Amino acid sequence: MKLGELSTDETAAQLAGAGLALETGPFAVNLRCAAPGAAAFIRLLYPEHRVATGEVVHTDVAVRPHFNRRRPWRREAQLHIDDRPLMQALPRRFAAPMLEWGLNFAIGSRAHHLLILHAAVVEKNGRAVVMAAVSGSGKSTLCAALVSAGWRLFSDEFGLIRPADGALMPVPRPVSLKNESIEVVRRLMPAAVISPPYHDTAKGTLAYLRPPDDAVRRQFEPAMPAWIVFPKFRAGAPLTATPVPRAQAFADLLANSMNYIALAERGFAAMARLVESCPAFALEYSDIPAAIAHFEGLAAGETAA
Amino acid sequence: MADPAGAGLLRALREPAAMAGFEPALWNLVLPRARNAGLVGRLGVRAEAAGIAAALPERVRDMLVAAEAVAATHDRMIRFEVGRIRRALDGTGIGFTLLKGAAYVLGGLKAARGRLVSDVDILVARERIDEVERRLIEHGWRQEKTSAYDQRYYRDWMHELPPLRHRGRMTVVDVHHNILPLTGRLRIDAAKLLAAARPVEGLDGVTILAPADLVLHNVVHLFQDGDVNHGLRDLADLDDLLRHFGPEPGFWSALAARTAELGLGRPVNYALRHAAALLGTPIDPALRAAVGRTAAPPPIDRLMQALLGRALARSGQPAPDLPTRLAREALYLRSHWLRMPPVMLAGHLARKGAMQFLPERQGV
Repeated sequence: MKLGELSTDETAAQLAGAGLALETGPFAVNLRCAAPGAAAFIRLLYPEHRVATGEVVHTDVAVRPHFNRRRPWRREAQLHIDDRPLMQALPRRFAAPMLEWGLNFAIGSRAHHLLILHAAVVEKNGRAVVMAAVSGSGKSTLCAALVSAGWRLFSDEFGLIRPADGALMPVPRPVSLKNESIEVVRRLMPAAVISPPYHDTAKGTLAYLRPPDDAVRRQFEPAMPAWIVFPKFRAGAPLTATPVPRAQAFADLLANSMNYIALAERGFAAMARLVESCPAFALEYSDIPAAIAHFEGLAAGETAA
Repeated sequence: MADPAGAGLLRALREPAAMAGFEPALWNLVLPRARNAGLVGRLGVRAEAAGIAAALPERVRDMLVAAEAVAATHDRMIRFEVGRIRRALDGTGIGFTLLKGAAYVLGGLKAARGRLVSDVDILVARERIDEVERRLIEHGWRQEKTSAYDQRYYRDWMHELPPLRHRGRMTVVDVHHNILPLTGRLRIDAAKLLAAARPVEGLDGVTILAPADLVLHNVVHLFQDGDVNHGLRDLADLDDLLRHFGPEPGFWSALAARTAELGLGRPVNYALRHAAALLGTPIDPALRAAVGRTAAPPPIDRLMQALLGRALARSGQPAPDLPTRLAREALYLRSHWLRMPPVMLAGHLARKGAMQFLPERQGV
């Protein structure tokens, strides 16, 4: 059953009760949150995702009201992973996005059966591009822009590599947009569904872009990586794509890996295979249409990267 | 009070083949509990050994594989750290004996597989401990506990130095000169432990505790030290140790002799009974009978059985119920009672109680 087929009341009842088990790519996670607005948030962003009731889940993510003993007047919420508190309690108005942060934590810190890169991944014609970069480099914005141009969303946050064959696994979830990029994406995709903004988070204003239905329906279709890109947004800069030598690409990806060490030889083999099978380049850009055009050129095989 | 998560975890450890028939709802209780108890990797190892790993649901397999990957990382880290400690002590002629997790890893014991090891515990001769500490500090480790009280607590009363953390790698070495506190009711002559320790092949100067002593250290830690937070993990270690060494000729009689020699009959009695009851550990009947004779008077013995049974079976329960919390508290107090004389204990607990209400500071 798809989540969108549940009514808001039913969704809220499950979230407030034993939890709503949600499948996203190779993960199933049980979500629990009784805060008002959580059901609407989840229904808005995950309508095409399958509800995995009665199945094994990887992790339980719960957001619960938190009583601050020193400041009892504050209305706070606390994130719990498998019933253990994680991070500081936050204002209760962040309860719904805290579910997203919990999901990120659950994937990034637990999925050691896969090599995890901190990267956005999109695919066209069966070939995927891995965009690895630290937060704040415009990775999510560029990812959303490519999605608006018809690229299939794998993730704006996790490049998940299956060690057995080096394939990238999709985990299409809401794209987190920060500050100015919310308006940028709204202009690029006038029909897109974007959550209400959450102001004054640690990263400023946050809003979530619903993943395209097609990306969710095809969430079990992996793809082989074809390009590695290290994007960097720099205001006013003309678009440049500078080839990155393999050894350098390996080192830069390593800095963006969440569990390379834990995977040991399997991690090395997967990383080596990635840099040997794909050209890598550093992309500096400021104009989004120009960046999209560059990627379209790659997909069409016109641009030598 | 029913605790299906705990019951399921015990069943999985006791009869690994039963995991093949676990329903998803039971997995969703057992896996978080196992994770909080530090036992997911162990479940993977046991499922593999029972030949049923392939029959488990895919998502369960994912998590077992992930946990084993983390455990393997710890294994590599331990081997590396042992090499670095050797390097720090190079030229001093000081040998060291590995304890607990590091001993299981370097000894190639089954108990090491799938286990998480965070610190390296070593035992050295007491008269060389200052030199060991100085060497480690020269080689990049440093003191974590800097308050004067903590320093005194460890140095004057305990059986180990305050933890030393490496400033680059952030790994911790606990340097022991004994396996029980200096101030406690039970005393052990550490020279006997060092004398019986077995060499580690290829690593001159590094030894691991003899099998009987490895077992006794586990028992002392769990049933004397009051550290029941990882109680079930430690009991699973004991289970693995006894299953591993049990078939070795002479092991049980050596363990019986060592237990009597070191006066550890009572904690061994508790440990063996719980291992057998909760995990089905095979135990030599002669040893069981011998330590049974050293049991506490019946009312105290029954109380201890109840407290330990509760605390162990509920290991890793995130929000323990009242009886479990009381059992944990009682065992914690008991461990301190055994660790130091009453007046010293009163002062220590009063101070620890007061510290909760004060902001963190140093040098008190």
